[in-house]
Amino acid sequence: MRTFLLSICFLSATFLQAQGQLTVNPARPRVDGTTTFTLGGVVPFSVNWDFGDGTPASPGGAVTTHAFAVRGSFIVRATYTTAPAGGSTTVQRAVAVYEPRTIRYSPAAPEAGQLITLQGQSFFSANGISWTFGDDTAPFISDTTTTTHTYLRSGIYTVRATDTNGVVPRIIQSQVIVGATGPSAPFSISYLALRWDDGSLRRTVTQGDTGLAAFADLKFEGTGLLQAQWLVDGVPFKSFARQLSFANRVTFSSALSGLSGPRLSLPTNIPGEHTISLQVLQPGLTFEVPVIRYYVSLGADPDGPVLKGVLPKRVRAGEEVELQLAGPHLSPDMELHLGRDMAVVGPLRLIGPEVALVKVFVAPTARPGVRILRSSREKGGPAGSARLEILPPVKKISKPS
Amino acid sequence: MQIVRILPLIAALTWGMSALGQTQQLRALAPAKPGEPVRFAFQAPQGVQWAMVFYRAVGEEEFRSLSLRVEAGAMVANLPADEIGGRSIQYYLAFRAAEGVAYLPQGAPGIMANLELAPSAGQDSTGSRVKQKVPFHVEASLEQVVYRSQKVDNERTFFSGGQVSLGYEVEAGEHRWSLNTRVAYQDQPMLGQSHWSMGELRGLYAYREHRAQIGDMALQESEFTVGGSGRRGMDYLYDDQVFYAHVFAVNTQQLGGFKGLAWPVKGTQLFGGAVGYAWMEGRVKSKLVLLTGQDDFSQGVNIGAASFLTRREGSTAALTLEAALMNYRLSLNGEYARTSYDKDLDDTTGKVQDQAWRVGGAWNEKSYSARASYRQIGRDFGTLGYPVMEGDRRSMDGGFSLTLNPAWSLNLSATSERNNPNADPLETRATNDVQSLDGHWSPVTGFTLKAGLSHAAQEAGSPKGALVPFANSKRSGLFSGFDWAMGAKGAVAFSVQVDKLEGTGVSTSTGRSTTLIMGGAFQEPDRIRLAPTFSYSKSTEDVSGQDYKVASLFLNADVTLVKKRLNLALNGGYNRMETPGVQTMTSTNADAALQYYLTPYLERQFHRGQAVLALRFRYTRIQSLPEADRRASLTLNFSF
Repeated sequence: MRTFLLSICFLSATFLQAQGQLTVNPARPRVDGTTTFTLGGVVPFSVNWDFGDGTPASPGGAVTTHAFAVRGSFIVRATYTTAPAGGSTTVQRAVAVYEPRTIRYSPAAPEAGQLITLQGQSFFSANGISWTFGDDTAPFISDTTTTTHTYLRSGIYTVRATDTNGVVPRIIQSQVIVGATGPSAPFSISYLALRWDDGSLRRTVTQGDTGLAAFADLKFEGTGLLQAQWLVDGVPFKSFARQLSFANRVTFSSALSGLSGPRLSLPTNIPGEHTISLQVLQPGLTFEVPVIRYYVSLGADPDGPVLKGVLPKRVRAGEEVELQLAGPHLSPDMELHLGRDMAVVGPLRLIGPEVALVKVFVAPTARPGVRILRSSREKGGPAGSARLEILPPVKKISKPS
Repeated sequence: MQIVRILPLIAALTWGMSALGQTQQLRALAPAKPGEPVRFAFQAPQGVQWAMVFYRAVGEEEFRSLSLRVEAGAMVANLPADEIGGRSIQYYLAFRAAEGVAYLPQGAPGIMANLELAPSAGQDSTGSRVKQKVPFHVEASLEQVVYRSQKVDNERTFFSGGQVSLGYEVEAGEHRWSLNTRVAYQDQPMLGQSHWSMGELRGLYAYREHRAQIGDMALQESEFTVGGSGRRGMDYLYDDQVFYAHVFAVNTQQLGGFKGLAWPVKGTQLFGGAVGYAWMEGRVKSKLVLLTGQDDFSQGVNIGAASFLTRREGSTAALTLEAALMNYRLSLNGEYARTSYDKDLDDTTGKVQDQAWRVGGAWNEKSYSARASYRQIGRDFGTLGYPVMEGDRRSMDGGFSLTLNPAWSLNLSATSERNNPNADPLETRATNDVQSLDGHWSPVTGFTLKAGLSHAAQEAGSPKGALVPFANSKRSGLFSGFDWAMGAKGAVAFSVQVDKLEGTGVSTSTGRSTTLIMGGAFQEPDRIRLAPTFSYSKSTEDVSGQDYKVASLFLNADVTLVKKRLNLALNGGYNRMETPGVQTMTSTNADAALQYYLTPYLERQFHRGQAVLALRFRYTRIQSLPEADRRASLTLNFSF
């Protein structure tokens, strides 16, 4: 019994022995800032500090200070003894050192000849900052952390500002892009909007519907290569790469458009809400890509025809023409609503799962302009639509009396 | 005696003029009693393929159609009484004979046949019935996760979403009202968005040439003023094909939640209008467009934009002219626009005035067409009707299209652009010249082969611009593909595009990109449907060392296990991304739902509604993660 109790006491003493704790102030040190490290929880006889940044380990007390010269993550170790001949113990702690100093400029996209305001942010120095602007003009020392400058030509310039009040004088630099827009600018995406074909952000489709496509409107600067992936619920659906040139606008579709209508429909077989986004692999983006949604609904009749497109897109009044219809679930018995002054004059023939041909006659009295063709089925169900432009008749027709 | 003989004939003709609408071969018999149909009969000559009566109530602008069918040696059709919106109808017949489309009465549609009818019950004062519809739908999807291989503490396991749709549609004569709304709920909104939002709002009132809208709409006035869909607000339009008037108040951005449904929100408002007039029976049209407002890119929930696209404000005035001359073979168009525009409300520079203009023309023949246009846009020109625009530019473009026969077509185009055309010493001058040629060949119905190539050269005059990669460059591109509809059971599309960029200035970098996409759909109705998609893209740029190769395979499939009852829906994909210096990333995803349709029960119990109960499995395997994520959930979707 005595042996047992002694064992318990020994083990308790071993495991409950005080362990040193390392605290850091500030918790998130900055480059060139004085950081205080405290070894607490013990009364050390000696402490050897290793800050993990390449500086030699050095002896010190329970409290010491250090300034990191670069940003990064470092393991700080304090190796201490509690008695002259005692064994050493090491405690360690990871610290993330950051560099808050930066140079901001306004306006964000300056043009040549425009006055730019440059500001040294989070500098130790409040005045006496030495500036160089990277355009062969003379260095300038400012009374405050702010200065102004005008670049006479478009280009990419490196601005350097010397902060003297830190542990050591430090040069902080930043690139200023003058003329960031236009054909001669570095390649970048300046605008990206996602939408459905009708411009909406949320689309409702019927389960089993096909031909669903999302669109991305981009504005880019300069010339370069774009590579991106369409994502459905975060899963890659289609990737593509394309050269874009001369600072322009461009629209991409998640579908692969064929003459008979879009292919590569987004999936609509699982009901509920789904998300669409575009992951741009290059060039790097300075903003977050938006997300749009579509809702797959249980329609009244999942097998109903949904007209999505028609070719040709223009027909002339007074002419008989064969229309190529595109859309899911087209069937010979579907109803095609052409609007007034237009009639189906032949049977509907399916030439593909989503393509049909039908002969129609456009009456000479048909009003010129764009009209919407619709599809439906007698017993109901989802409806589709497509745009068709009516051109005036070739032969002049006297107005009906 | 002779008079006695012809008296019956005169009587018959008199009767015919009063009770029958009669032409040489077409007869229209008015109903003997209210509610009975009007009967059309046509003694068709030999070889008539189809015959169609076009009719309208007197006072209506447009004609409805009625197909004639063969019956007892004649072509006949009955027009139901409730289809006629008036007491008198005008009609003519179009039919396809061996020599082409012909009309009756001769001279139609310049000359019409008339038929007087007795009024019937159920018609309003204008002679038309009132039709009403009140579509209403509630839809919801619920999901309860029942298993997850990688559990996370306090993770949500229940998800819900849905929408309520309500509509009201009335048609009375030529008046038409409709209002369709859809309120959506999502339990996991994006940052800055609300749970509830107005997914759709479309209100419409139309009467003859008048139309008023509220909610979601598209605006399209001209190239330098306003265009595009997905706007929300209200507008009024009058268009009688001679005089045109349009006023609108819409948002410049798509806003979240219930903001700006019927009237634009301050800061993203666009007010405008247009008046137009058409001469020469609509062949020459002119329009004046005015708009003013403010825009703020940060308000749009569907956009991402660089920080320099900030708040802007401005006004635009434009005059457009369009003409279709020489029997519509020659079309000409032009526009002059002027703006007073502040592209950054947050800087000290205020509004600056500038202009843009364009002229264009096209010549269209049946077998060929040619087009050309010239446009110049000032450096400080900007309109709020478009989110972004390229300013400080002068461009010329032309094209020629040739249709050798219905199976062959060729297109040739060339564009020449100049940036900073006025040689502002503070701006970079740049030029871009592009030529392209493409062709389509459809040897059989449903199959189209297409191919094309392009060449371009770009130069930036500034020495600074020369340092920017590809500011001085040559480009070439090649594409090919086909689109093949293989009957009702299959279709496949394929495209490949190869682009090359070659730096020609101080920066002699090169870049290449390749995209290959193949997709299709194959189905055996009520059994299986497969829609695979394969895409591969590669881009190489030596200056930045970026070299991405991405291959994606996506499969969308449905397998019917029990018709209208049990179905297996599958979406899955494999993705592989290679980047130099970074470990190749692969991911595999699968989303399968075993769906049991409850609809037959709802039909029996409530005579409406749809519901699907599903057991859903999701599998995600990402190479960089130690384990795959497997989830199983129960889902219920219903629509009522």
